[in-house]
This record gives sequence, C-alpha cells and structure tokens, in this order.
Amino acid sequence: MSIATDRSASPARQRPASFAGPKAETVLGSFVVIALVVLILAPLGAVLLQAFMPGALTAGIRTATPAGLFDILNRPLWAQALMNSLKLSLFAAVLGGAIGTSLAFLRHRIRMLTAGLIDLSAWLILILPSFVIAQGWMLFAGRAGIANQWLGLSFVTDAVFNPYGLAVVMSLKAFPLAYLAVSAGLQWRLDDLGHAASLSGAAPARVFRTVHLPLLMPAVLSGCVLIFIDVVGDFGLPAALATTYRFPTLTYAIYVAINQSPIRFDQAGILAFYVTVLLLLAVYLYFHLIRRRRFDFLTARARQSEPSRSALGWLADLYAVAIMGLALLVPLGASLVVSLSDGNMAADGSVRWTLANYQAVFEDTSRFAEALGNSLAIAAGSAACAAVTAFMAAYVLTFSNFGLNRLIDLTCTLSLAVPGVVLGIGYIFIWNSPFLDGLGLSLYGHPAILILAGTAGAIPFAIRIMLGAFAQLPANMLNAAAMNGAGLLRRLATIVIPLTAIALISATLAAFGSAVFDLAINSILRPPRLSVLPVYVNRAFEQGEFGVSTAATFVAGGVTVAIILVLKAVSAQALAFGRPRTNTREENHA
Amino acid sequence: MLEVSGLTRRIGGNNVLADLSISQPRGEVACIVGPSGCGKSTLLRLVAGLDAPDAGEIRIDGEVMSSERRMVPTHRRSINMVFQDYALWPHMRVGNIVGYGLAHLNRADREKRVSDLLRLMRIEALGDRLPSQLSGGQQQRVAIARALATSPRILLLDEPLSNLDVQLRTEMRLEFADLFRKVETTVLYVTHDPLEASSFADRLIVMRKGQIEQQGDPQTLFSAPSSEWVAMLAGYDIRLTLENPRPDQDGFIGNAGDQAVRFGAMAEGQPLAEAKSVLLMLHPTSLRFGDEREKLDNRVSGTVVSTLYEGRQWRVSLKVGESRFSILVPFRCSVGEVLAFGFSSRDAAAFPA
Repeated sequence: MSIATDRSASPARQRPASFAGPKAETVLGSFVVIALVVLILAPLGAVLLQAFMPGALTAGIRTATPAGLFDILNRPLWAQALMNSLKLSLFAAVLGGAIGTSLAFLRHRIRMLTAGLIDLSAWLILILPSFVIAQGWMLFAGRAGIANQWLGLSFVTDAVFNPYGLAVVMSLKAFPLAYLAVSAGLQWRLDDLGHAASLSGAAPARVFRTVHLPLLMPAVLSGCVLIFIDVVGDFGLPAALATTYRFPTLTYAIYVAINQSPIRFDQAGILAFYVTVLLLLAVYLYFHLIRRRRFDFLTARARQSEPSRSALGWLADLYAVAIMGLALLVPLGASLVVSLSDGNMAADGSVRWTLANYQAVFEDTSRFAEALGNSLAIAAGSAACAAVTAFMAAYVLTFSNFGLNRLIDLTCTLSLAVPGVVLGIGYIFIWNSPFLDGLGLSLYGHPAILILAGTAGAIPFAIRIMLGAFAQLPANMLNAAAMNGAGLLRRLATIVIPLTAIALISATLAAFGSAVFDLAINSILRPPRLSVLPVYVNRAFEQGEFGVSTAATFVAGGVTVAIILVLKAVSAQALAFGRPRTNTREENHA
Repeated sequence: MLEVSGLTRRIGGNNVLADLSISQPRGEVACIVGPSGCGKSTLLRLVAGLDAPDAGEIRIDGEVMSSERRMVPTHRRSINMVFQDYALWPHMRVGNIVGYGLAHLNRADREKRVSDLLRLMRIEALGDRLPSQLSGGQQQRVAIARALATSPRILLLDEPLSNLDVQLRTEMRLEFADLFRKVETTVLYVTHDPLEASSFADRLIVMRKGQIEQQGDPQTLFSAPSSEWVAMLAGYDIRLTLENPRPDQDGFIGNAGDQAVRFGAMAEGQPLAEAKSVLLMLHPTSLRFGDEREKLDNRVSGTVVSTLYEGRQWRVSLKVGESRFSILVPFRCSVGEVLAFGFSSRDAAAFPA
C-alpha cells in the first residue's frame, strides 16, 4: 500500500495555519489516528508494556522487570505451547503454500471445469470461522466421529490427531491465502519472457523453474507468510480440540490463563507478547521479501492470463475436487450430518435423521436466540464503526498527504496480523486499568468493549475493501469539486460516497459477517452474564452437545447470510433508485 | 492578476520548480509550454492549491494564496480548472455537473447560468446526459462549462486537448481562441505543444527543468528563440555548423565546408566573441528550392546521403560541410545528387557551437 504524492483534493502538506485555520483533511486524519490508537495501537502497546512491566496496567507497577518473559523456558506447558504453535504454523505455511500455489497455477494456466468452483470455495473457506471448520474435523475424525464409528475408517483418528495431522487441517483452512496471493501474481502473462528462455534451449520444465517460478516467488512467499501469521494467531482449532486432544498452543494457553482461578493477566500478557513477537517477525519478513524480491516485469505487452487447453486438464480438476472436498465438504458435511442426526448409529448401521437439534436451539432454555440477538447487535455496531473508520482512513491515505499517513498505513497493515486473542488481552489491560477505572471509563465487563474489539477486528478487511474502491476514484474528480467551491464534507457527500457506496456497503457487511463469529474476542472479553453466539456454540461443543452446537452454527450462519443478502439487495435497490438512469439509445448516439 | 514569486517545489529531493517567478496581468491568456517533467503541471497544481510550495509565494489579485505561512484551501481560491482527463463525475448529469459550483444561487438563477454556459459551449441539448453518454469532445466542453460556471478569477487548463484526435484538436484551437476572447478571464494554459499554444496565447512561457527558459509573445518566441533548446522546441530542426564566424557588412558570415553562409545576428544574449564555430538552426519552412531561392541571401548546396519516401514528399538526408540534417522536399532526389536550397539570413537562429 503506497501513498501517491499527487493524489490530493486539497493542499498537499500542512502549513502552520496562522491565517487559514486547520485543514479539514488534517482534522479527519487526526480523528483516524485517535481511533486507531484507541482500537489497535494502545491495546497492542499494553501487551508489550505488560510483558516488561508486569502489573503496570492492572494493579500498579510491582517490578519493572522482564523476568517473567523467561518463564517460557521454565514452564513445560508454555514451552510446549510455543513449540506446538511454531510447528503448526511452519508446517501449515509450507503445506498450505504448496497447495495454494499449485491450485493457483493450475487454475490460471490450464482450462479447468472447476475453475469457478475453486475461486468460490477459496473465498468460502477464507471467510468461514476457523472454529467451525475445526469442529467439523473433530466430528469427522474423533474416536466417536463419523469416520471411525459410521464409516469404519479407524485409521483416520490417528492420522488427524497428531501434530502433523492438525497441521494438515490448518493447511486446508489457510491455503486460500496463498491461492489468492499467487492468483494475483498470475493475472498477467508475459509470454515473451518464457519464449526467450525456450528459444535459448530451455525445456518447458526448465522454463518453469528458471523463469516462471522466480517471478512468482514474491507472491508464493507472501502467501506462505500470510498462512504462518493466520495459524500462529488462530484460536479456533485449539478451542475445538480442547475436549478431544491435548495440543496446547500459545493462543489457547492465553485463554487458559485468564479462565483459571485466580485469573493470571500477567501470564496472559507474557504469552501474548510471544505471539506478538512471532507475528511482528513474520510481518517484518513479509515486507522484507516483498521489498527484496520485487520484480517490475509488467510491460505494455503484458496481457490478461488466459488458461490454455490441456490433455491433463481432468487430472487438475480431480486434484482441485480432492482439495475442495477435504477443505470444505469433510468438515461442513460432518457438521451438517451431526446436526441432522441424533449422533447414534442404529443396529443395522443406518443413521437416525432428526431435526431435534434444530428444535433444541430454539427452546427457551437454550438461550440461543438471546446469544444470536446479542451477537448480531454487537456485530452491527462493530460493522458500522469499522466501516466509518475504514472509510475515513482510506480517504486520508488515498487523497491526502497527512503527516501521520505512514502511521495509519502501518497500523492498518499490522492490524491484519494481530490475532483476536492478543487484541482481547490488550483490551483487558487498557479497559480494566486503574487509570481508566478512576475516570469511570472501565469498559471491561461491559458489552461496549465487544463492539470496540469487534471494530478493531473488522477494520483490516474493511479498510482493504475501501482502499480498493478509492484506488479506482481519480483524485481529479475531488480536485474538480474543490475547484467548484466544495469543502471536505460536500466532497465526501456528493462525490466520494455516491461513487464508492457499493464498496462501503460491502465493507460494512463483510465486517458484520466476520464480527458475528469472532470466537477469540468473545471468549476473552464477554461480560459474565452476556450470552453471545460464538461462546454459546463453543460451550455446547465443549459439553459434548455436538448436535446442538452444529445446529446452532448452521442456523446462525443462515440468519447472518440472510441478513447480509437482504441488506445487500435493499441497498442495491436504494442505490439504483438514487442513480440517474442511462438511456442506451442516447448513449449510442453519443 | 496572478503573481508567482520565488516558487520552489521539491519532490523526492529533486527541484521540480526552482525559484520560479511569473507575473500575469488580468485578462491575459498565458500558455506554459515545455516537455514532460519540466514542472508545468506542478506549477498549475500549486496555483490551484492542490499542492503546497516549499518556498515562494502565490498571490491572486494581491491576496496571498500560498506561502510559507498561509495556504488558502482550493475551494476558497475562486479559481477553476479544466483537467487533462476532464474529471467529470460519472454519477451526475451534465446539468448538475456544470451547476455544481453554483450552490449559492437560487434554483432559477442556477438553471439560467447553466443554460447560458451550455449554449456558450454549444452543448445545450446534452444537459440531461451522463458523462458516459458523451463523446470525448462533448466531455471536454462540459468540463470547460463547469470551470467557467463559477466565474473564476483565473481559469487553469491542464493539457485539455491531449485526449482528442488530431482533427478535433485543430478545431478546438480555433474555438479556444474565440472562447478566451469572449470570457475575458485570466487564463493559464499548460501544453507540451508550442503550435497549440501559439494559436491563442497572448504570451508563451517556455519552461525547462523547473525554470523559465524564455517568455514572450508567440511571434517573438517563434522568430527569435533565445536558446538552442527553445529553437528545437519551436521546430528549428535543421542544424548547420559554421566555422570561423566573423562580422560581415550586414551581419555575420561563417563557413560550411567551402560555402559561405550569412546569418543576421546571434540569438539574444548569446556572445559571438571567441566562438570558433556557430550552430545555425533553421525551421524547415524557411527553406526554398528552385527559382525561389535565387531571391534569398543564402544559397547553399548539399550532397544527398539518403532518401525516404514519406507519402507525397521525400525526407532527404543532406551533407553540407561537416553537418548532416534531414529536410522534406516535394520532389524525388537520388543519392549522391547535389541539392541546392536557399534561406534568408534573418530566418536563422545562431548560437555558439
């Protein structure tokens, strides 16, 4: 993400305002910085501060010493958690990177019947909460799971429930990150580079190895690092595993630290510090790779990639179906089967199908409706705040040379890598601190903290959508409005919002969808008596009520998708109503 | 009146504008000419308030718009601009686009003003159309109408003809000349094409590397370029090196091989003293062939080195003394043939070689 120096709808750099008063963009930028500090930087800073100064933000400074950091060497559980997290992430980065790269290469180079399906599935896998996928795998591969009990595939349990099996599960969840990164790199095709190698005597394999692969390496490595970041911070898998298989990770150790008695925020802070350090190292590596391995090989002769016909196309389709089947059908299918059955097999080997699980979630005593209602309301608040913040941040980044743009840019990029667990711990440190308590601003234990954390969690997606939309908007359109006397608010209201409304709606709905199912933030920050959906689903799963848990997931997922579709349709109608109609006949004349 | 003094703008350590000063009286049409990267668009953005200078000052009608201490926001400068890409808002109809800057008027006045402008730009039938329903030329007229709507103190135009085809560009030059006469506003027009600029400019300002190379009315600038670089920009493509330059009865004389060539004077500010050789630059239209050359004070012969047919005329590469240059002639020549041409010594621009 770079800031163009000539994209400005107003004076490019701030001057001492002895006559003219503060520039509107500066005010807007300052507001964005404050929002990002409150939502992301302060909690992250609190985690780092707490690691070096335990108790600094909770009960007064006890000892300003980082001695606690070395506990990771002394506590076997922590050391194990660190090793498990590293092992899981590194293996998933390599395997997920290989799956994503191979699928992307096949998809863009060979004409495949499943091309559309791959794209759709990649996005679906990406947006599905990891705990839903992980629960599906538990239900499929557990000792009492479908594979073992119903299909008689007893080897599946041992194959999945080991560090490498779990890494494969995580690879299948995270490979779309590599698929999308590599697909972006494959969108343009430069035949001349390959032809030059062929004319120099290189066989197709050598052309691939020496020309295509090196050019793709930045995208491949980016995909691998993104998978590593995603898996290190993942909370869904360890949460789903909790009752089935002992495999402590850093994120789950954090969760345990704040759910034991007495609560150990200091320990959670140290563990969160390690997660943060791992992620910052990965982010640094990511930027290092991007910078060192950047090839400006696009020329005017580049053309859009067109897949070519191949006799082995069927093999590529088979591979894609196998991957999609494992990544999507197995976990979701297992969850669906469990939600529609009573969980037992009859003597004749048949499954007893029932809607009892779905009826159970709607019983008054289940509190499902309450949990769903609360989560939808919290997600709506988070989505609105995230969309507004992302809109303003993207505007300032794209159309102004505000002095703190680099900070905004860096924070928005960093926020992609900050997992919900770390954010949650940071929120506890900030919003439970004696200082804010003294000001009457202690939000820990109040539902508002879930909205704030949900906003922070949704900003990374929302800002990327808005930056994409703003990149399509020529700065001269805003400059022209300014020339005609329009101040910032009028420019936003009459030019920017009408032209980016679709992206703004998409950003809001994407933020809404991701906030409803955020297990990590809800598990850590939920007020004691507030029922929220992800915790409801996870608790039912932990208590062995697999049918109810999966039924609740499908009902909540269905309701959320329905709300998104309805809102999308309504807003599309509203936009169409407000937009001038194009007269095709006149257009033809013109 | 626009006054720019000591304007400096640095981007990435480079001086895009370096201590530039311009004074433009009210009502003047000034064209800034120069190649890509010379700083002409940056100057326009600074005047518009879309960018802030690192040093210097911009005043409009005596009021400071940009300086070290003050930046008046773009929307409060009472100036307007026609952008290179027109920047028409795709979600608005033409009438709304043109009337955008007239929000302070009541509806009737606004509609009348919009209607007048559409008539002025001869697009009165297009008021209900969207930009996507307009041709390139129509879009440009809408952009001009919008810029004129606010009665700006200064009208800025940033290469407005660059997106049009050759024929339309020629037609629009005439229209601009007519329009600028009618609206009587101060115009600052940026282009890289000196011929386009000379069609309607009261003054040409030639920019190079962030500084003014030469300025003056188009006739002066085209007939007396003050530097080799301006001469090239003005189309003086023929370069003839003369050895041993010396004063002659009506001017100067120098040798191209064994031929004596006269020239009127050195270009303004260029010294002849101690120059061992002189570069004579000529515009192709100054050359005469056949009987016509007999009336001129310079008659030069060169050997044809190569020829190339370029549709109705031939490009001939000539060798005169040690100089080689190409000219266009309406007749066929053979390689090795001697071609004679003439030119007036007053049409030549001379610079120390």
